[in-house]
Amino acid sequence: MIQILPFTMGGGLYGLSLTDIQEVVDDAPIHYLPGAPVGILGAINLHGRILPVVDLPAQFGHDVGPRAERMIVLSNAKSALVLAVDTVRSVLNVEAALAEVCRPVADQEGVAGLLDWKGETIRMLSLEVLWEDIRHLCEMSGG
Amino acid sequence: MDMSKYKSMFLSETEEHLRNMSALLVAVENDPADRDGIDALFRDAHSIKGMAASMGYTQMADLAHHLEDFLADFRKAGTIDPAAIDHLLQGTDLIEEVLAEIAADRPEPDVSAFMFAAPQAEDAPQNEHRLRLTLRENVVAPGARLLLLMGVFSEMGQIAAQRPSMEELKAGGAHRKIQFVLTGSLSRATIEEKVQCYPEVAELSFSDPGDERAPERRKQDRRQNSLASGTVRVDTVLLDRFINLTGELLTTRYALKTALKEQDLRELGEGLGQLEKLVGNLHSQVLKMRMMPVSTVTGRLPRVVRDLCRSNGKEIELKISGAGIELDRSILEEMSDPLMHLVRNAVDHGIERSGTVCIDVLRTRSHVQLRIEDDGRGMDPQLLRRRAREKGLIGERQAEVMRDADALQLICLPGFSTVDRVSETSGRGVGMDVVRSAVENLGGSLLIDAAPQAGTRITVTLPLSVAIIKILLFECAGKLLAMPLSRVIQTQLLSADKVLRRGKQRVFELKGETLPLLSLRKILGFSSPQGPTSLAVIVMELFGRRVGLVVDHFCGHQDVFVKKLPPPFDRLRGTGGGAVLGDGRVVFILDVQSLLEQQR
Amino acid sequence: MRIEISQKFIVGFIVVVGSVVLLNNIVPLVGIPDYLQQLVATLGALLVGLLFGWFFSKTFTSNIGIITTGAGRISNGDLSRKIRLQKRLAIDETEDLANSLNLVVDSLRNLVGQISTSALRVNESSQGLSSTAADMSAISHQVSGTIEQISKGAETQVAMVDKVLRVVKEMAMSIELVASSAQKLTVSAAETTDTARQGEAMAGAAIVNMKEVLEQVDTNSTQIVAFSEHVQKIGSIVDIITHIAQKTNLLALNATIEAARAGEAGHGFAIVADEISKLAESSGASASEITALIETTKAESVRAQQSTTRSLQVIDEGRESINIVSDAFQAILDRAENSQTKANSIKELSESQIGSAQDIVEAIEEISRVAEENAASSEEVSAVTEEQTFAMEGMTSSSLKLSQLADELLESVSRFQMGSERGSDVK
Repeated sequence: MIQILPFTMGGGLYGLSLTDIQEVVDDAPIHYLPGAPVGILGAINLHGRILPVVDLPAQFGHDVGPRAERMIVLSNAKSALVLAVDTVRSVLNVEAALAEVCRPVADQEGVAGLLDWKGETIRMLSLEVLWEDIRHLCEMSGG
Repeated sequence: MDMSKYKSMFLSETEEHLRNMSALLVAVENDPADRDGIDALFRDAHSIKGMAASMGYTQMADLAHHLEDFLADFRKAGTIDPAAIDHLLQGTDLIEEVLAEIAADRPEPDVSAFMFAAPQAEDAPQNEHRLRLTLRENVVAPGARLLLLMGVFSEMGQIAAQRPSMEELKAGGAHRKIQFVLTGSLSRATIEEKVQCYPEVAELSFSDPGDERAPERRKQDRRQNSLASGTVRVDTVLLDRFINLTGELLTTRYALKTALKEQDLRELGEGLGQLEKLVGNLHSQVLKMRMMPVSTVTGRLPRVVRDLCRSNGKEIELKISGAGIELDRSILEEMSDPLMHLVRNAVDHGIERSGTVCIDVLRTRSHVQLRIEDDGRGMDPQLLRRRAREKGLIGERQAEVMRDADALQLICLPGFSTVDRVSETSGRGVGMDVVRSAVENLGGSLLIDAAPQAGTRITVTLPLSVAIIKILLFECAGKLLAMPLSRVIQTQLLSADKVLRRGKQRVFELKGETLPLLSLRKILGFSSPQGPTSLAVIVMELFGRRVGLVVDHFCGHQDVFVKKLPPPFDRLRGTGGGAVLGDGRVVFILDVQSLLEQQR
Repeated sequence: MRIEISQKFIVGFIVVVGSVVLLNNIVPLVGIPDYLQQLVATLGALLVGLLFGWFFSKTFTSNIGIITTGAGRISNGDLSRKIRLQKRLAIDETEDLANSLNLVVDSLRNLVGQISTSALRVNESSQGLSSTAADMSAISHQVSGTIEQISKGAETQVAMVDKVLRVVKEMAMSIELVASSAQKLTVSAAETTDTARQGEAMAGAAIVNMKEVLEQVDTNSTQIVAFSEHVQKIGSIVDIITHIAQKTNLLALNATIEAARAGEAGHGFAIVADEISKLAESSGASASEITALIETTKAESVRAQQSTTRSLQVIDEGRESINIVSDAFQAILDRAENSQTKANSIKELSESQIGSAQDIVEAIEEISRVAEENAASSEEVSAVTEEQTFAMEGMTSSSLKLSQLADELLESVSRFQMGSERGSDVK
C-alpha cells in the first residue's frame, strides 16, 4: 500500500508520498526573512529549528494568494524546508497495484508521474526537481 | 549485513584518523626521533585499515595496510626518514580522496600505483627517557620489588641517575618511588607494555620533552571530532552528568504534577524554579558538548604551511599554542577558512624568505583570542592609504584624516586586493573582507596591528560560549529584525530638525562628520511612512564608510544563538542567520551590505 | 466886624452929608453948570444916599425877612432848620436875633425830643405791658385749657383704664380658652402618634415580607446566573474538545507520515493512526453538535436571566414604594410628637399668661386710682388759674389806657418836625 498526501495548487491536485514528508504543521506563524525572493514566504520555528517556507504554487507559476494554514515539511540528509500550498487533504491509501499504473510524464515540469484515483488525477511531485528548483531560486537570488 | 548504517560513522572516524596522521606527520618531520609520534601514526593507519576492511572498502584497506607496514618499519627503528614523510603524506592524501569518493557513493579509485614507490627505514638512534615509577600502596616488600623491576629495566637499556640508588635499595627501607634515566632503543609504548605485566606498579610516568606534545595529542585523539560530517564525541563524564540531570528533571516533573494536583502554588513556584535551574544546567551541558578544541581547525595548518614552504621555497616555522582551548563547533566551522587564509597571507605575503608564524590561542573570561603573528615584512599604513586612494575606495579627505589603526583595516575592504579570491578548500571567495565579515557575523572582532618591517599581528576575538551573540532588535515596516551589536557603532534618535539635505540625499551630523542616511524600508522594498517626528538610526559601517541606517524603532537587545539557514537557503543574501527568541519568534540577522550588493 | 444898626445909620448919614459936601465941592470942579451944580450935587447926594440906603436896607430887610421866615417856621413846628443869615462884613443885632432864635429852636428841639422819647418809651412800655399781659392771659388760658384737658384727660384715662381693664379681662378669658384647646390638642396629638406608630409597624412588617420575597428572587437569579456560567464553561470545554479534535487530526496525520517512513515496521501503527484520525473527526462532529445545543441553552438562559432581571426591577420599585410609605409614617409620627410637644408648651404658656393677665389687671387698677387723684388735683389747679386770669385781664385794660395816653402825647409832639440832628441852613 502506498500512502499519499494530496494537496491542491492553482486548482490542480498534486500529491507527495508520505515517505518523502517529515511532518505536517498547522498554525505555525511565518516570520519575516529579509532579502527573501518572491517564492519564499519567510521562515517558521519548528521544534527549535528555523526552516524556510517555500510558496509552492508560486514555484509552479500560479498566482500569489492565501495559502493553507497547514504546511508540509520536507527534509533530507542535508536540509529541510516547508511547503506552503493551497489546501492539504487527508491521506490516501492507495493499493500498490494501482500505484504501479502511475504513469511517468516527461512534459510537465516538476511532476514525476500521474496517479488516477477515484476519478481524480493526482500529479505526483518529483522531489529531485523540487530541490533543484529551490536551489536554483536561491542561487539566482543570491547572485 | 548491511553496513550502510555505519557509513557515516566510518567516514567521520576515518577523517579523524587522517587529520591526526597529517598533523603527526608534520610534527614527526620536525622531530624524526619522536617515537610516540610514529607509534601514533602506526595506530591510526592500523585503525583505518581495520575499519575499511570491515566496511568492505578494499582499496582503502589496502592503502592503509601499505602505510601501516611502512610505518611499522619506522616504528621498530624508532625514527623516521624525512623523505618518507612525503610519501606518507601523499598516502594520507590519497586515502582522503578515496574517502571522498566513498562519501559520494562512487566506486573507489585504484591506488595500486601509489604503493610501489616507497623509501626504506633507517636504523633508529637511541632514546632517552626520564622515568619515575611508583608502587602501589599496600604492596609487600617494596624495596625488593623495586630491585626486581630495575633488573628488568636494565635489560631495556642503560640506566643512569637512579634515585634511590641500587645500594640504597639493597640496604632496605620502604622505598616506594624510584626515578632514573633509561637510554635505549625502545619506544615509550614498548616500555609501558613491558611494565604492564607487573601489577604492583601503580604509576609509570615519563618526563620527556616529547611528553608535552603527547598528552595533547592524546587529548586530540580522544576528542577530535569531525566538523563536516556532523558527529560528536562526548566525554562519558558529560554523559553521566546528563543522566543525573535527567533524573533530577524527572523528579522535578513529579513534584510539579503533585503541586498542581494539590493546588499548592508555592510548591509549584518552587518546582518551576528548580526546573529553570535544571534547564539552564542542561543548556550549558549541551553547549559544552558542542565545544571542540581549536586544534580541530589548526590541526591541518602545519601541513599546509609545510606544503606552501615546499612550493615557494621559504623556510617558515609554524608555532601553535593553546590549541587545546575549546570553542563552539559552529564558530570553528566558520573560522576554518578564514584562519587558513590568514596563515596563507602570513606565509605568502608576510614573510619574505624565512621566519616564524605564531598562532596563539588565549582565553579570557568571556572570549577566545586567536592571534596570528608573523615576524615578516609587516604593512605600511601610508602605502595602504595610497593604494586605497588609487583604487577609489576612499576619498582624499578620508585618506588624510585616517588613523594608522584604521588604515591597516583598509585591507579588509572588498576590492582592495585582487589576489587570493578563491580558496582551494571551500570554493568560495576568501579575502580579508570575507574574513572580517565572518568574524563579525560570529559576534567577534578583528584587530590588525602591523608596522613596516616589524611583522604583522592579527588578533581575532571570538565569543567563548556558543554562537551566542548580542544582537540589537529593531522593527522595520512591522517586521522584527536584528543586527549584531558588534556591527553597530551607535544608535541614535534623530529629531526631524537634525535631518539635513545635501542635494537629494538625506544626511545628518555625527561628531563633526556628515553621514548619509539610508532608509531600510526602501532597501527592503516597503513604503515609507509619512514624516515621522523622529528617526531611529543605526550608525554602522557599510562598504567601508559610516552610514546611518533608518529603521522604524528599536526594540532592545538580546543574547541569542544564531543558526544559519540550511542549504541551499544559505546562499540567500540579506541575512547572516536567524535566531529563536524566548517567545518562539524567529528573528533574522540583517546583512545590509549583501542586500545592497545584490541590488547593484 | 460888628457894626450896630445905629452906627450904620450914622455912617450913612455921614456919608450922605459927606457926599453932599463932596459933591458940592466936586461938582463945581467938574464943570457942570452952576444952576445945575446944585441939582447935580443934590442929585448926586440923593443918589448916594439912595444907593447907600438901598444897600443898607436891603441887607437889613433880607435878614429880617429870614428871621421872620424862620420864626414862622418854628411856630409851625418845623424845628428842623436853624436860621442862617447872609454872610456880610458887618454883622449887627440881627445876628443876635438870629442866634437867639436859633437857641430857642435848639431848646425847643431838645424839649420836643425829650418828650417824644419819653412818650415813645411809655408807649413801648405800655405796649410791652399790654402784650405781656396779653401773653399771660393767653398762657393762663392755655393753662386753663390744659388743665381742662388734663381734667378731661384724666377722665379719659379713667375711661381708658376701664377699657383696658375690660380688654385684659377678655384676654384672660381667651387665654383660658386657648389653654383648654391646647389640652384638647395634646390629647388628639397623642392619638395621632399612636396611630402613626401602628402604621409604621405595619410598614415594617410589609418590608420584612418583601425582603423575604427578594431574597427568594435573588437566590433564583443567582441560580440562573450560576447555571448560565456552567453553560459557558461547557461551551469553553467544547471549544477545547474541538481544538483537541483538530490537533488530534493533525497528530494522526503526522503519525501516519511517520509510520509511512518507518516502512513495514510502521504498518500497524499506520492503521492505529488512521483510527485516531477517524475518532478525531467524530469528536469534532460531536463537539459541533454540543456547541449548537449550548448556543440554544445559552439563549434560553439569557432570556431567563433577562426576565429575572425585570422581576428584580419590579421588586426594587415595590421596595422603593414601601420605603416611601414607611418614611411617610415616620414623618407623621415625628410631626405628631412634635405637635404634642407644642400643645403642651402652649398649655403651659397660656397658664403662665393667665397669671400675667391678672398682674396687668392689678396694675391697671392702680393706674385708675392714680388717674382719679389726678383728676381731682387738676380741678383745683383749674380754679386757681381762673382767678389769675381775671387779674390778668384787669392789668391788661389799665395798660391799654396808659398806652392811649402815651399815644396822645406822641401825637401832640409829632407836630414838631425834627429832621436831622444838625438841622440845615435856612436860605
